[in-house]
Amino acid sequence: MQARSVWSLRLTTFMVALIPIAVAVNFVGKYVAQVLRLPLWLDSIGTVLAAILGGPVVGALAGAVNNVFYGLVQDPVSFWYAVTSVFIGLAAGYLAYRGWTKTPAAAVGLGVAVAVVAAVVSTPLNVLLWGGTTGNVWGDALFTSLRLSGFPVWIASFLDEFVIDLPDKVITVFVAYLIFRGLPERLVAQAGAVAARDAD
Amino acid sequence: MRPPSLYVPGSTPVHRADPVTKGVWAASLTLAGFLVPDWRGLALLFLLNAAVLARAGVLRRVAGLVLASALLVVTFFVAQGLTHAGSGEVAFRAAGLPFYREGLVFALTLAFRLWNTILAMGVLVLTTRPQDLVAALLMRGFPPRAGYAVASVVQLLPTVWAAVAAVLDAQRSRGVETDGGLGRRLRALLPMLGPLVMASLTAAQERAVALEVRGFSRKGPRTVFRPVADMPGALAVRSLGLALFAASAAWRAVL
Amino acid sequence: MRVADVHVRYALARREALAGVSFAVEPGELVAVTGPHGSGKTTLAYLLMGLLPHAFRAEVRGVVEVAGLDPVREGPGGLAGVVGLTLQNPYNQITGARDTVYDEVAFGLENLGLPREEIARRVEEALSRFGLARLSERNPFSLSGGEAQRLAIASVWALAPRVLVLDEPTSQLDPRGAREVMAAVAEARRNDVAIVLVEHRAEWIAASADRVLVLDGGRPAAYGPARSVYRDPGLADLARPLPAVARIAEALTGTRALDDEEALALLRPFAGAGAGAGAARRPGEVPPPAADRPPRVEFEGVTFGYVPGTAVFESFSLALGGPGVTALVGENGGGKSTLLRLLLGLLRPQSGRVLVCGEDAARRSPAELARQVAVAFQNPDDQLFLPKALAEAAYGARNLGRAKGEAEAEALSAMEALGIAAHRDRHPYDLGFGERKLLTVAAAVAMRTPVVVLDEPTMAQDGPSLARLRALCRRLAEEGRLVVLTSHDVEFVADVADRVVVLAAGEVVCDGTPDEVFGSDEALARAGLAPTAASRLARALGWRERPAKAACFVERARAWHDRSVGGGTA
Repeated sequence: MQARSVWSLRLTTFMVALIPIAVAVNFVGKYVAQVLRLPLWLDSIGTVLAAILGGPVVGALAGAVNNVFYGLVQDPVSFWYAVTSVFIGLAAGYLAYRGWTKTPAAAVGLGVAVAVVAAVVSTPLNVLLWGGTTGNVWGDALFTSLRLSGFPVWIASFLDEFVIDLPDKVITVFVAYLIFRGLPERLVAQAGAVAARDAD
Repeated sequence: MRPPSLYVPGSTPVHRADPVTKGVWAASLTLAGFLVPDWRGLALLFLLNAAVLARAGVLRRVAGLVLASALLVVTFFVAQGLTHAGSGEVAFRAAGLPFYREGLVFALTLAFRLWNTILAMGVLVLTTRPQDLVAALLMRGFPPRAGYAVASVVQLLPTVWAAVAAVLDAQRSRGVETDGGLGRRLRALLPMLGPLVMASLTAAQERAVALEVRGFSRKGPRTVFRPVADMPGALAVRSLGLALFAASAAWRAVL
Repeated sequence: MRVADVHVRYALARREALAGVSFAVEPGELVAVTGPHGSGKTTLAYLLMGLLPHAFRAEVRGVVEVAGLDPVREGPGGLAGVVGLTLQNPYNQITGARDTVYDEVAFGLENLGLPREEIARRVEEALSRFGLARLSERNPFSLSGGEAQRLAIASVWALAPRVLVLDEPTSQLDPRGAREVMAAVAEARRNDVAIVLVEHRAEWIAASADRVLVLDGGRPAAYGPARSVYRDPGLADLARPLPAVARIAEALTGTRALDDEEALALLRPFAGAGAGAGAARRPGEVPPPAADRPPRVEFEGVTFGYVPGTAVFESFSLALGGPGVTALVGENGGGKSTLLRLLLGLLRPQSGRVLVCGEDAARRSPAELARQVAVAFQNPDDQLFLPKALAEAAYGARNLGRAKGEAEAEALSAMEALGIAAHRDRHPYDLGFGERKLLTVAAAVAMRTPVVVLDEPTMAQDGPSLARLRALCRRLAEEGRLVVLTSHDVEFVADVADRVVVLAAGEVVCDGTPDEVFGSDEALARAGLAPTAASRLARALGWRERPAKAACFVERARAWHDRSVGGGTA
């Protein structure tokens, strides 16, 4: 592999073509979860996959385009959360480059890390925009009881977001990891995949 | 099920207004909403945007979006009403729990901020084709590669979406159960998403070749074939939006 | 444009994808490139477009020169407007950058930075040249395959390239789309553009190409004027099989004819062979053979429509059955895909019943029905997801509860029969489209169901694969299974099927043996099918009976010839 920095901004045309596909996969992941009646969102598989394949910059761009597009076609509030998506892409891309996609256990770790990053970035937005709640019934019930027990807004809001993000992001990242492992060598090589796959 | 979309086709003056002016308006008024400290001021912004949306004939669509946010609004009232005590004045009790007056007012402010975001952004997204927005941005020096990444999603999402039904048919016919217990349905996830992702990535590979052939990575100036002209009075509308934003910031600073 | 002694090796690859290829094309010439799966045709196309090594990592040696430029140095960015390339899959070439046909063509010109008036002029010229003017406001993704492929050609044409490289533009299209696209290629030829066309069909190449380059395993196997290359007896079935007329003429006269006219001139002496009496039944009069033996598929008074009020089928009845091969033919939109989906339990009839091996399809989930009927759908990419070909071929059988070893043995034997066993450990997506299709056929066969459904298995197949596919279908029939297939390839259908059912507008318009169906002009017209070569020749020679199969034609002509020689009347 050529000595290209993992943070390089130079995008090949394939990577540019990968971004809309990553966004489409985000949407379709959610759609398939609905078709199969699964109690999950699974709406960032594409972002994570783009990050694993193309690195943190491609992941971040996929995340940004995802939320801009989501804002245009589904929910105008989602523009704010483009920041979260960008950081999901950055974190997944960088950690994948550091080898967190080599084993199933590492992939679970990657999922936890992505969930932490997502919650850390979303919390200030939730607090500044909406007083700390997320709109998820279970998370907000936790928020309310923590606040009533005297916890500060920031901690209550972080946990509100995190309890929802943890299972969803772990499964999202794991599904992305399984798909990544099954991709043809030619495609992975062309993406210049920064992440490593163990030889199986 | 069809792929999601918010754009409502039409030919009202709001539809015909150029995307950049609408974008400036939507951004200024959204941000203004987060600066205005009082719900009554927010209610004014709400009415202003509602009037614009009514002129565009998309009130019904935006009402749907506001209703969809109902759950979030309820959590505002419950969470803030119970926890935001302020001076400690209790408005009412429900199930033995005290709901504080200041918390409820704060929740109302939050609710209006949410609705204001939906309405202000709605002025842009409900009346603008995403392609036109991208074309307008490209004319102002937005990088063509980033423009492509956004604009092509509009075209590519329906194709991936349509493949879901075909993959479902193919996998069920090879004995993959998609009904039944949670475990069974979870096991169908990979056979469903695998072909969708692999086919899409392969398509992206070929599409990259097609883009190269069409001079996508050529250096040098590009033409915008369908230029988007500014609406008449664009400057006035943009100035009004920015003025409202400035006024909100001033209100916030004074308090 | 010229290429001299070029070698290409992809990163990580063991052998060279191209090894010592040389050829040249002058402006206004058309050179066809042909050869079996994996022979390096697409690599050559990518090379000319400057994609190697810029988009795909590869090592290139030798001389490549296109309009005075070196593609290997220029890369695709420097070649836009000089070289144009189109690919096999029509829809993957739609950029998605714009939402109308008109603007899609304009996109490339925008990238070249041309003035707006010039863009409009070129777009309109390209649209009208390739018959797309009335589609200019349509969304590109809503076009038919043939239209989308013409759009790809028009988009590249508008850039005014000096060299046009077309990589199998018709391989994924139905006959109508293929005809449209080949007309477009002929249109492109009228100017001073050098055309490199990757193509399989010998009859078309013989009729239209100035020269043909045959590749085999990356090496040049033959190069020269098409007629002389195809007449070389050493070159049997490297590409698509030779046209059926060529095989008939060669079998009877020892000379390969490359079109009907030539064949007729050679076969004149056999005109008398068709004088013999034949008790040809009228198609549809007699019930088809052995439909009451298992395995059976019955449609009983089925009514079905996607939209209420517009039925695709109304009180439709059809019984298929007995071991054998039944072909469903007819134009797109005639109801073939809907019928197959009803059979597979993916669609439920609004009234009536579909019985598969005696079970009511509506009472079973499609996954349960998979014990009775296995299918290979038209698009293999709707189902492939495992990283190894063998695992993919065994996946359906595993879902039916078979042990891994048993399922894989069965899968491997099906892959062997189709000539793809060597790919057992490769990733399905590293195979070509045609080979991926064969893999899904193997996966369906390996499920060992009484009924096997193959939807357009002949699409994108080369000569040897077609022959293997035919042999496999016959073997399944001998094993007592019922194969139901659809195909636009009339020669294949005539060769393999025991029974042909013609569907049009949701009705069976003709049902009988291949000889009966292909012998009926009315049936062919309603099915939108061309007659087979044997049938065309028999008619032109004035035979009373028209055999559908090339082999039957040859047999009859030989028998007559031997008789007449024996009787001294010839």
